[in-house]
Amino acid sequence: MSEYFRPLTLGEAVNILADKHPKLVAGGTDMMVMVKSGYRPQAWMDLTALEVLRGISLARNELVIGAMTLHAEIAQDPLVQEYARALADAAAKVGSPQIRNMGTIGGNIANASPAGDLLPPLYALNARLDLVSKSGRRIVPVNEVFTGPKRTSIRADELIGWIRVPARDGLWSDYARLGTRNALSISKVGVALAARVERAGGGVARLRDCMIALGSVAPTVVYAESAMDLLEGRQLTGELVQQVALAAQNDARPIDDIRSTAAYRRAMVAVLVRRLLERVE
Amino acid sequence: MAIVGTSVHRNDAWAKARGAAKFTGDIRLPGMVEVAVVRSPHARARILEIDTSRASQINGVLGVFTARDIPGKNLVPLVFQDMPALAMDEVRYHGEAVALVVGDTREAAWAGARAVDVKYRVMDAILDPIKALDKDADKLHGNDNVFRRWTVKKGNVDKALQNAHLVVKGTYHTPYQEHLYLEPQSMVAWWSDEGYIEVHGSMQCPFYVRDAVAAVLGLDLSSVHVIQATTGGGFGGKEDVPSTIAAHAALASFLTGRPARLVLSRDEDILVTSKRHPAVIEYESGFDEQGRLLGVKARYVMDAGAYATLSPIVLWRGTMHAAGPYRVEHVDIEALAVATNKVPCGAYRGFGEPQIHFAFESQMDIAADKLGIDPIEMRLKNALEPGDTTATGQVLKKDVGLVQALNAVREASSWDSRFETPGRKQGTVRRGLGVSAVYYGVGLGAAGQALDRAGAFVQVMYDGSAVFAVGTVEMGQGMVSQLSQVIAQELGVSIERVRALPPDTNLLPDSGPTVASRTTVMSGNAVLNACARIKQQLLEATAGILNEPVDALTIEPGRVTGKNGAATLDEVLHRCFLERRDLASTGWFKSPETTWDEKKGQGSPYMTFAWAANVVEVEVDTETGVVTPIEIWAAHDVGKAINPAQVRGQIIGGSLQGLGYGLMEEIIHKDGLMQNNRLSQYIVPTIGDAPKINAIIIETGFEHGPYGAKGFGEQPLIGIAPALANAVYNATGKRVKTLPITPERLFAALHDDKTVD
Repeated sequence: MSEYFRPLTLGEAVNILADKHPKLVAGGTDMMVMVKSGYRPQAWMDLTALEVLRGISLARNELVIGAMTLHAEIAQDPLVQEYARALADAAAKVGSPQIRNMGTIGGNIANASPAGDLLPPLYALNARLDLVSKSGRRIVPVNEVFTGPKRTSIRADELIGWIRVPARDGLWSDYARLGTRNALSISKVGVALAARVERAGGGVARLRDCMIALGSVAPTVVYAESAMDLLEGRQLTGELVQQVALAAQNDARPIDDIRSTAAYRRAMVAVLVRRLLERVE
Repeated sequence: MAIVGTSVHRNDAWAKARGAAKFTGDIRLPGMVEVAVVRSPHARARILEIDTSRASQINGVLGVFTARDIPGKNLVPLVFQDMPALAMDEVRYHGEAVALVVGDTREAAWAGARAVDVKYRVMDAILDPIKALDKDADKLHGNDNVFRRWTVKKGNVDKALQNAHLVVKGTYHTPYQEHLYLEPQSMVAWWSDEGYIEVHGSMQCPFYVRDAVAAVLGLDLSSVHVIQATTGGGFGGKEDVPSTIAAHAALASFLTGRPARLVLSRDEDILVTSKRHPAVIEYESGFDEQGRLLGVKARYVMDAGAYATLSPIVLWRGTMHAAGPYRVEHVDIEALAVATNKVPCGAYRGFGEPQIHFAFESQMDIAADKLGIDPIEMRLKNALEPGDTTATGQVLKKDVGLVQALNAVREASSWDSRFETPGRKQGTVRRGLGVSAVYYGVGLGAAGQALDRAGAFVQVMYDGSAVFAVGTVEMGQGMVSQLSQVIAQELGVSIERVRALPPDTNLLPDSGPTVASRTTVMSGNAVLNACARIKQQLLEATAGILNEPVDALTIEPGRVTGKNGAATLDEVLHRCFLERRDLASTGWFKSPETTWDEKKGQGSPYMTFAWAANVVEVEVDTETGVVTPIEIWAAHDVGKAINPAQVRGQIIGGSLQGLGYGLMEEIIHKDGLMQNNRLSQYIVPTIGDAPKINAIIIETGFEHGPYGAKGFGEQPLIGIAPALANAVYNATGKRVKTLPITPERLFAALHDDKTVD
């Protein structure tokens, strides 16, 4: 039998974390699948009573999203839609309405699936995680957290408190994915793009600080670094878009698995990157 | 007012919608125990030792049982007698049952199952049915690994193909398909020391379940009392498999003396239960310049899996339909069901037909394209019509609605103004239209004629309510409502006051299985037969009230009318009561004669056929290979729609299952081990993938059907995948001959610049 804790305050939660190293459960949309397969930890800590970790606010040019905020809430939130549209789009595409009304952003991060839909937008948007433990808080860039499929550098005595997403006026972001069907599907490929769009005198756009993050095509989300370099500050012509799409394809390191093939995934990185760039306004 | 022919509400809908219906998982009996099954982790292995000592010590485990504990025969009887209830010396597929663990709770039983130590010596598995046919291949069955071979022969095909203006050759591959009924396989069995056993569970074929339980426990058939519980979908998946599930539950109850329940987990259910047979089909068709079909030569190989189960008869149905719903004089069909070390395949809506329809309807489309003939026109030129003779030599009667169906979908889809020659479309996203023609032999046919009978029991109470029971089951398909309509129509009782009792093997005669789209015709006629006797009683009593002869009387809702007056049903029933009339009756029906001469490969295999045509419109994203179905038009000749809403429901649901088969459903094996037996990995369409589906009903009236109805429930699935593939060709100019048409597969076809075979 597992021990079960449901702390009412963050202070209580970090104490239990330090003492018992429990497995954390938020919406349970990933954990319950493991439980069904026979997974039984020594102790569970249920985070659903931690109201402090729910909700979205804007503070000092940052969107601060509580780790217990639901996908459905993120998808519909006007602030997220304004400052981090890629994240809102990705949240709207997770699973089904039932899953979006149970699953949380913190859970999606902690589960560390290479196919997690919220992760590419968080990478592209330079999000940081606010990790809380008995010994204090540390803020870590999201791209430093994932060490492999289902593995993170989050310590056993830490929990994800908040996700901090830079909120900059004029930042363009967008997310595109291909799944196995139109709902209730895990991504075969997911691509997030974020950039500042410059349009001198109404001419051809140039992208600055462009970030492209690729999901489901490597053990963790990866940046399409060569594609990002190619784009930086240059006129977004049709020719450049083609070059960037091909470059992004080579930044991916996909594998064959039961959802798709490496060859298809690689080709789709190019298609999705090109389509995202064509949507830039 | 007619009740038959109107869309009355399903009388089981309310209980199901609010959760009141009791499924097997809801059954709680005093002292009930739970069963878990130890299953093979290998595709093929010798069992060296089963050590139950560790499992037996687990808290809550009441017993661990193997093949050696079976009191009767270690056998699940189906077409052949080849499948054990529990593996004895050798396991032959991933997931085969090796031992049963009985626990106080499900958790205890499962913990026990994990703790049973089985020592195996892994053997080389036979995984490819084509390789299994090699002379020097290792043998799983007989001396050639062939469970069954069937042929159809007519005329001289080689000569016909030689003389043909056009010969189309193709090899087609079709995948497994998993039923994914909402309710997993489940059974409760209750052994009584008085010497009988009661079995309740989810099933399509109570009489098969009875036979299996009697075999493993060594009991008389009359000592096995099987009662169907509310069943949450079957689609063929609960035709043969419940026999095994019931055998396991019955063994557990018999050996522990406690009521025992076995409910498969979803992952287990996908892993071990029957599926649609994967197939490899080589097909040659010859045509003259006008597009007339001259000859058909086909070799249809099914991957049957480790045991024969229903494969011989699934193959038979596929073989009977292999030349298509067309006039053709020269035919040579050979079909084989081949043993491999994979899950035994069985019945799935369509029963051997979807595979072969995919092949011949692709062939027809290729020929139309090469000859420059419109695809619907091509089918109309060759379509079977009343009075025609089929490829097997069956002469068709009046109820042949294929031409009407083709014309109906042609008009409804505005085909003539919208169909464009294939392969000339431009742009990233392209639309396409595709068509298919379908036929479905109703009932078990000649190969299953002995089982093609059905019994019924009907009783009218003196308050005007009625009960009935039949030997076929309600599994969600709508049988109870349709038969209630028949009773209300015949006896004048209110349909809201007709109640169905579950099938019960001791109180009803063996009515065969609930399969082959046979229930409306078979049980419908059996109910009519029972009603006729009760009706006679009602009319005789009324004759006494109205002083009119029986033949002047008509039963209407709630009353009986004569030439000069009418009596209310209440008056009539009161009179029946006083006159001590018997208002309960059994009914019986056996199917009209069918024939099959195996030597000649000819015969009249089915009592009649249902017919259909489908048009599917798709949108193809040529950069991603993603196919989006936009709209389906499906016209079905059902003889007579007893309940039009239910007919439309069958068409819509079956079409969606057909789309899954065509676009996304497949089982993936690695070294003989199933890789995707989870709901997140075995991909079926959701409502989010459903296009608009237009159901069109055609009624030609079947002479032996109740009110002219035929069975057709399986037919809606069959023709969707070929129409879809034809639409993809129309949009892209690429012919995909392997299902499902996944984005990966179509992308490869579009970008490797060659046809995918």
